[in-house]
Amino acid sequence: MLALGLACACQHSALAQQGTDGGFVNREYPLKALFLYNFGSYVEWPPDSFSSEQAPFVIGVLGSAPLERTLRDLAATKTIGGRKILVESYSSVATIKPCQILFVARSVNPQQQRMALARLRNQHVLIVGESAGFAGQGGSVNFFIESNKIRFEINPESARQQHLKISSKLLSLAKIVEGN
Amino acid sequence: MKSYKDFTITAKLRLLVVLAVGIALLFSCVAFVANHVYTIRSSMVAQMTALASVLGSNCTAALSFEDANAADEVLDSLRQQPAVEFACIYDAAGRVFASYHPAGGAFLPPRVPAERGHRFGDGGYLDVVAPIKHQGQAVGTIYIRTSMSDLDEQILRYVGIAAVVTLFSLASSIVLSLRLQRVISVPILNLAKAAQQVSVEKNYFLRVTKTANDELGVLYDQFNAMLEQIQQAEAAIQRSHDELEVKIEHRTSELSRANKDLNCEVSERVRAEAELVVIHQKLMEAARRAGMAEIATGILHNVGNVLNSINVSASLATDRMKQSRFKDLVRAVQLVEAHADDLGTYMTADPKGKQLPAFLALLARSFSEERADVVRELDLLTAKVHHVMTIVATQQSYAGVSGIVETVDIGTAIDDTLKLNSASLDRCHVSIVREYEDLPKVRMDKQKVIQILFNLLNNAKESLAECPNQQDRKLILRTMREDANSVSIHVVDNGVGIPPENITRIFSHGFTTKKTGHGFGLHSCSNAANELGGSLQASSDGVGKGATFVLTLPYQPA
Repeated sequence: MLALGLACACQHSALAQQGTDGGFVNREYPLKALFLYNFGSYVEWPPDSFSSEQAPFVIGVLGSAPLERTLRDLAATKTIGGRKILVESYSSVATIKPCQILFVARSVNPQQQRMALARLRNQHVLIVGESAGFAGQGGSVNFFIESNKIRFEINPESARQQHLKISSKLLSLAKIVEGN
Repeated sequence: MKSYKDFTITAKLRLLVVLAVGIALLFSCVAFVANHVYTIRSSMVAQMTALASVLGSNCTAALSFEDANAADEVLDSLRQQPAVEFACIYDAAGRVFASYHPAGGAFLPPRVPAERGHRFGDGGYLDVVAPIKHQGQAVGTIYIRTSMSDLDEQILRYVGIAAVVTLFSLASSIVLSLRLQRVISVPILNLAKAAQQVSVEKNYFLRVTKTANDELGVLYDQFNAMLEQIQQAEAAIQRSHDELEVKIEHRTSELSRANKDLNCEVSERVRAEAELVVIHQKLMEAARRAGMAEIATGILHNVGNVLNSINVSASLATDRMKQSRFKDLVRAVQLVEAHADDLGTYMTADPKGKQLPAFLALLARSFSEERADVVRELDLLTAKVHHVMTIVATQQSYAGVSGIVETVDIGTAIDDTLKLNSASLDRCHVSIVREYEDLPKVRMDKQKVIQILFNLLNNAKESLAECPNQQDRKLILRTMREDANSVSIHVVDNGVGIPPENITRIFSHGFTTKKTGHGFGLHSCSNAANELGGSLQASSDGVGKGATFVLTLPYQPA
């Protein structure tokens, strides 16, 4: 029992971690930000997704979610495929600019979400959501929480429509869903 | 304890095979096991490194997306590797992300190792630590420990196999060598046996039969060839020995024959020697007689010469006396006796009587002269008789009687000799020329010198007598000092001379050119000169040119 306890203690607690001050910190959005960043290296975009060699890797966030700070921290130090990372926030579907990853926050209403999905169809954009059924509606990836851990589901058909290749390693971690 | 060198060839070969096989097997087994251990370890390292790499690669997404369950699932695939003791995956920060421990029970995953790569631990395990990278970025570390007990077991098994193989190989090599060594040892042993037999029995007719055409076959052939040679040599020796015996026999018989002959010869030799002694005695006797004859001849010759002079002197004296006017004296005495009564008258009146005193005075003068002549002749006669006596005495000196050495004036000696010959020299009308050097007196055997000179003068006179011209007959007598130790007397005539071919022979005994000569005079003169310690030499310019005789005498001051 002791060993098991130790092993469990050493396991990463996905959403709550003991902070330096002794209190538990909600790690949901920092993790989601990290996952968004990591998706960059497990998904392959077609070469014409970028306007130029020097064009940055753009991660867009539609709606409000507390992950921009983490994303900007990552963007300041990391690169994806040798490109600088640019984090952009879009308040509405209309303001969405060309990007490689678009995170659609839970705060965006379902209609807006559908509009965004429709707008970006076939646009070489990995559309990541965090709302139930998002992947089934045309999104490629959708976060969900299971066993107090952040997991994600992937709709490979949707990703293929967006001309994206998703690494089998990523697929092996994901829950595979199909379109409605 | 026998040394390795004294082993039999069989034992050596067996030992050789066993040693060679054993060492070869030992080395090959050690090499085999070592190579196997190395190969197994290398392959294990490669395998585990590859496994770590694959597992790490499969865990990148799990690490990226913090899916520990996925990592656990990946590690769970290690169940197919029973040797793996445990495996751990650490995240980029070094925290344990997932672990695998098939043995169960309490397991405290170790801290992330600082070193990457592989390491063999003392406890019989292999640690492999590999970074997990995703797109060039380190996302974590994988650590796998594998037990090496299998390897140890394997090594033990291999050692066992090697030992069994070695033992089996050794055993079979011994068995094989027992059979195979015969190929080598049996011919050698046969050869050795044959050699021994040859050396013991001295039977060089023995031959060995070779069984193979290898070096041993060559050895066999050589052995046979050697025996052949020995046999031939033996035969040759026997032959020469036989020949030698025949020769020895032959020689022995020859020797015995020769010995017999030699014995005969020896007895003959003894006889001959005895005869030789007799002959020698006879010869001695003959020589003595010859010497006596020579002495007699010398005496006769010299005495003959002197007798000639004596005869001349006696004849002269006789003639003188015959021519004496003794009859006149008798007639005068008869006249005196007839007129004894009237002697005074007769001597004064008678014409014949008157001449009587004068006649008597004439007679007296004549008698006086006669007397002087006869006395002189008789003196010479006496001297010649004395010389005869001297000759006899001198000839006795030939027979060992030494002459009398006196102090002599050489000129006087010559003159004495001249006197002895003066009558005959006068008769031949020889003019004498004396050329005497003023020499001191010497000590010598005067009679010998006189004898020599007498002979020389006699020869010169005879030589001169043969010359037709009486006026030119000249004899020069010359004395001179040769050097500090010798004087010489030269007798030079201008008579008939000596032909060159005779010059060397004139001193030989028996050589003569005279009708009545004996060939003894000059020979005895030469001998006498030698006896005096001097020499006699003759020279002549040829026939008709005279001759010169030089008597050289040692100068011994008186």
